[in-house]
Amino acid sequence: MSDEDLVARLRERDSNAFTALYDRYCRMSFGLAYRMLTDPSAAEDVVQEAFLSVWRQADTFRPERSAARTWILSIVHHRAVDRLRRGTATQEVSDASLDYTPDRVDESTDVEHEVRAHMEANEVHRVLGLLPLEQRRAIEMAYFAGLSHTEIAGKLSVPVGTVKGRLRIGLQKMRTLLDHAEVRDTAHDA
Amino acid sequence: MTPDPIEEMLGAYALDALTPEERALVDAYLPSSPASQEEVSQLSEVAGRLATSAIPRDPPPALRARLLDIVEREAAEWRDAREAEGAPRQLHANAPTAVDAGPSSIQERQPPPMALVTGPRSASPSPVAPGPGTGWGPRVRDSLARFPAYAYGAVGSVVVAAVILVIVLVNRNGVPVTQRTGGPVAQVVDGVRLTGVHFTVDIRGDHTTRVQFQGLPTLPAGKAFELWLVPAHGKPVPVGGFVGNSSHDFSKTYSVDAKPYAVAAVTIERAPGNAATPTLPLALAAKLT
Repeated sequence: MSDEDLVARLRERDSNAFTALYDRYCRMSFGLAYRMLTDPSAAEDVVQEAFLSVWRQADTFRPERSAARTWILSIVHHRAVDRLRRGTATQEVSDASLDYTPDRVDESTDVEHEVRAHMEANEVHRVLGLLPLEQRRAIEMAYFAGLSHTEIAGKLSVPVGTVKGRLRIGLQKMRTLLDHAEVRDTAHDA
Repeated sequence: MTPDPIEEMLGAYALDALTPEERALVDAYLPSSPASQEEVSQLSEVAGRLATSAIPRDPPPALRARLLDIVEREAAEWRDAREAEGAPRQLHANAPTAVDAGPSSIQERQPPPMALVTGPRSASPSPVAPGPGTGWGPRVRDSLARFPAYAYGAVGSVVVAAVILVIVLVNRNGVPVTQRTGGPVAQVVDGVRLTGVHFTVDIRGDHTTRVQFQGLPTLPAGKAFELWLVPAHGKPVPVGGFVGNSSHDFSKTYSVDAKPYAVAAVTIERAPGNAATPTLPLALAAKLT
């Protein structure tokens, strides 16, 4: 069953659908929250809050605007950003955070889903690595450290306008590169 | 060509790297620009994929058990209530609060709707206006708690800091008044210099709102200012058009309660200032929440 179908079933309070979604995205969600907060207890709180929001606010999901996975992970991200900005967790971004190594595949979970997730993680990591360092760093500071563009400008000692440009152009480049990768993969599959 | 200052913020918007005030400005702008909406949608999808680059980790098993316990209990309550009422009910109704999910900006995180503003002329509170505990109001309160005087207003290469002061007064009739102050978003908008413009918004306990502007510039012929109330989620609601008098001032009390709104904004529109959708860029803004 697709993610979107599962979210639709949450509106009818289908706890089995919730369990399926949780099992599908708990590791990715916890990994994201942990990476942002660097505190397992805080990450656990964030994932709990986020999944309860998914459960209780499934009616706010709009499939025409984004994929269910994007929606779920955006809730986790937003909760983690809120926590970072409340000052209850701190994080320093380092280049080490770019050293992504695909994790093991847990055989107790949805293997096909896990494999796809790992393939995508590799692709996103590869594309991030193709960005100019200053764009990649600005995007990472915004997304993973939860810094505002003004804070990033202060940390990097560059004008705010420069940061805004790096964030926007960096994301645009990532989109182009990810689109090319999908076209390439589709052609390869064909 | 100078890039549009709000469009320049779209990347930061997609990454949730704007202040609540800046985010409100972009939210107010997007309904007027389908191209920017499309860009936000695309950039948000890319931003969402960044999450997959984090190393997946197993959460504590107790978290799963705890969540499923809550979910099963709420599902059972929902079913019981539905059977008792014989009708569907809201997802949130009577939800247990063993774990408070708190306010959320979930809808905010999805790309904005494509519909343009077609709201009524009267500025009654929008049905999508944020209620207590919803939207990014708590984030604004968090920001206020951190900063005694909250500076905002970085747009484009021009940064105009407007200090937000929150003053609660009681007027002569015993009506409590919460006062917010605002100023220019940019120094020059649409060829009009806004340096030195200052305004206050009095959110009154009798559900009216009084605005007072000082230092308004003389507008070109055929132009007028238009005041908008912007909810945290949803479309800007038009309030009314105005121009400065000979003293460059303007004040008026509107029969609208500004309390549910996040931002009061002013744009420069075609006279008399009764547009249904704001023309961008914004000229003046004040944070209300």
